[in-house]
Amino acid sequence: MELAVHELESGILGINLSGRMDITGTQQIDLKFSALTSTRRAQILVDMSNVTFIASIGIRTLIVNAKAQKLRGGSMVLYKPNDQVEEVLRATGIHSIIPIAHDIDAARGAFGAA
Amino acid sequence: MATESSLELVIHARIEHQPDLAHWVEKLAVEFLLPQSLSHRIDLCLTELVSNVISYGYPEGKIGTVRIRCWREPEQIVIRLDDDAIPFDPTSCALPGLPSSLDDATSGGRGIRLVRHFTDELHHVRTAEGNQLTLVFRSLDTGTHLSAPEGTASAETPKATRQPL
Repeated sequence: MELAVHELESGILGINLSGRMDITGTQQIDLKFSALTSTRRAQILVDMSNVTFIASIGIRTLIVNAKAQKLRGGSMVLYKPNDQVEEVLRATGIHSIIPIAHDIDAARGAFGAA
Repeated sequence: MATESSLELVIHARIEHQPDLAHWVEKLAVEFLLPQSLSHRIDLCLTELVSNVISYGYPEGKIGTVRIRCWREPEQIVIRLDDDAIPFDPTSCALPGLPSSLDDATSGGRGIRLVRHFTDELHHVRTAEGNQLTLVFRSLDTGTHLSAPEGTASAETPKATRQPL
């Protein structure tokens, strides 16, 4: 997996994930991801559009990082997962605890509600 | 059940062999002309089950073996996993309820929940060597899987002797 970071509009940090979020993939991004979510307060937009697969270990990574950011007073939104990834997220109830957005306005609204 | 229309994979139960599993599912999809959504379901279920065997199936230091066979029947794809791990029945273990808040989200049970959700049938048999799981997948034409997420409000104590993912 790969993880890329970029600043979006003020206060929103974009984290782009790409690849396969299985055991091997999450091991490749876990340290970098947790360093970003546990060291500062931010509104974090996790772009999932290039994540091709997610297993339970990948969901665990998302939850751990969302919790870390919440502890710092920020929040996290999952952005544009593909249909199959979103079905996995919904089957495990993640959509009800970490907002999923498919456009930037919905993401802004989700940050506001978090 | 290794027939001409079946495929088989035998791997050591180690994390570094997980990519072999994903590649095997890609081969399976080509061999059986599976729709992408169905091959995704198979990929996910095998990833979760084999991960569980690797993580919890053996005493420290022991490297087990997982044998996976797949064949096509008229309206379904059948996959059978045989391992030499400690007993674990994913069809009967209780799972925690779906999380109601981020703070309530626990770390376990999601893998088995996903396997139950994305299979049409799931059967477990305890064998002399370990466990035998049979997974059945239907919806071969559309690959659409429409069942609702399984979930209850209350957490329950797992009955299994092996911790689910």
